Amino acid sequence: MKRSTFHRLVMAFFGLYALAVTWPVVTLFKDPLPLIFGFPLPLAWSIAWILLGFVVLVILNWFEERR
Amino acid sequence: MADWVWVSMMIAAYLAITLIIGLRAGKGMSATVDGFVAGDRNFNLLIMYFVTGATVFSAFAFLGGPGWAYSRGAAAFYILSYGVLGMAPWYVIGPKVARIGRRLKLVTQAQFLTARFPSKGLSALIALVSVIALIPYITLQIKGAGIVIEAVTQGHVPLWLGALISYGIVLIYVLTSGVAAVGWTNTFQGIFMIVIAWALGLYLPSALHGGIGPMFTEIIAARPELLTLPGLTSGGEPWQWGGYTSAIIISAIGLTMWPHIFMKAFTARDERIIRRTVVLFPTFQLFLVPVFLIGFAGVMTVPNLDQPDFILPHLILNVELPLIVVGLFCAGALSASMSTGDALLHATASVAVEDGLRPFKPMSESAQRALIKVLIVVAGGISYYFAVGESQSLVVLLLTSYGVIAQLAPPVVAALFWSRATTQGVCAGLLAGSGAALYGFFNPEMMPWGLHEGIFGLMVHIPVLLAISYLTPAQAQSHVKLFIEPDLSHEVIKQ
Repeated sequence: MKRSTFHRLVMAFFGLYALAVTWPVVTLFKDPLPLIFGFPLPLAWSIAWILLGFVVLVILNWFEERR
Repeated sequence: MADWVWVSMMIAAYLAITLIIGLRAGKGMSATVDGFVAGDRNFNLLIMYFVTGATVFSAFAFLGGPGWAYSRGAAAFYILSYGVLGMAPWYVIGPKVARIGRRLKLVTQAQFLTARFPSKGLSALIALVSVIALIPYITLQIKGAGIVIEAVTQGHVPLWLGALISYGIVLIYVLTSGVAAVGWTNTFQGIFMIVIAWALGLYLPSALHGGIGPMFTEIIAARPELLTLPGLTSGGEPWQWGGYTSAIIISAIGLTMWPHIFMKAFTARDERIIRRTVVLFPTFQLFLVPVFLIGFAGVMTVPNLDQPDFILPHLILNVELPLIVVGLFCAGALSASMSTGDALLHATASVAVEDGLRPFKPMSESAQRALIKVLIVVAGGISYYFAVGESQSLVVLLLTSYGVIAQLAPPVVAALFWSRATTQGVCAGLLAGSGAALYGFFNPEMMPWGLHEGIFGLMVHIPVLLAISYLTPAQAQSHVKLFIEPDLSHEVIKQ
């Protein structure tokens, strides 16, 4: 993959992240039930995005340092 | 021996270890301003990681985090949502700023901005904005330390004394070792905070409710509104979506603009370290999860606590924990307070001297270094004065300062990415944006949907920056290139 395409994908991911945790998208995940691994849905949603963000940053850095 | 004496002894031991680490750190550091402020640009990854994490998560996270979860429920999740979003752009911006900083020998944020936009007025304005935003922040850290010590010693060591001792120690190691002390003590404190937070975050829900799942099931059955987004306001009313969303946006924008965090770009040994710190940042962010669990553990156990920020010390003291756990908690909370407080004190004094005074009155390296030390004591003294006095409005001030600090983002982005930006445009934008944010703060009824006043500030700031920049003559291309394409302009600088 070309470097610029890859960078655009990463930026698109963080744009998506911003949309996912703010109004109006986050309203789909506002109710506390169901519990996910014991956590209320909105909390699990926030945590899932942190983990996703971590994975994307690790891939980005792996890609950059390999260069 | 009484319990509180044991706890006090553990606190004393913890403070002694911190002091030793802080004092040892300064050895071998050069006696220049570069050495004192930027740590000879020689921080390795481990230190950078914990410095950033421990600096970002302060007493506010350790005491305020559980307090928010306890009283405002799902509203606290905004704190989880902005961190990674705010940090990710730093992967690109941080190394670029570091490269420019190393070449032009910059140590502060204002120096960076005035290198691209030369103006003494701009330098003073940034210094003023920074100091105004930083002082209430330091005050909260000092107060946090005092509260913790007073609570766990059952009032035998009052707030003023606990705050005085813990911050006396911070002053000693920061004055002796400069930013190197901040690095090493934060590494130690960062590890401590994480271990304590996870241990308590897992232990309290299981001790009080039989586990995390059963705890949330109980809360949902009794108070479903608490765990439904966007949570509650401090008054217990449902929070507005506009407030929740704009809190995430303004905090994400403001996060890396705090002078004490921005300036870390100038202390990193190489750019790879800055990038890796950003990559590892989400792992630090997860530290907030146990912090929230602690707050939620109190919801059914301790209903109607007057001051929600006391929920953690309250639980600690009322669930009959072993003394060693109380002592460790205390050390963890002090870590959170001191590891942010030391960096803040250091940043405040450096900014005041480097950006507020030096552009107007040239001074020697040694005079500058001495003045920074004097101002560290002055800033500590002023903050201590507010911390022990009546200062309820300070929390409000801190939230406002996020709105003001975020106004530094457009100039930074313009400096790095927009060749057409001019000094006049940046100055006008910053003045208009900060003014609008302050206006919004004092007239909250003007803000629709509970919008954060910092967002309103940016809505005024950005058009002004664009308009005035286009109306004034563009900067010379050779000058602009140093910032937009620091790699390509390398040879130009060498000549």
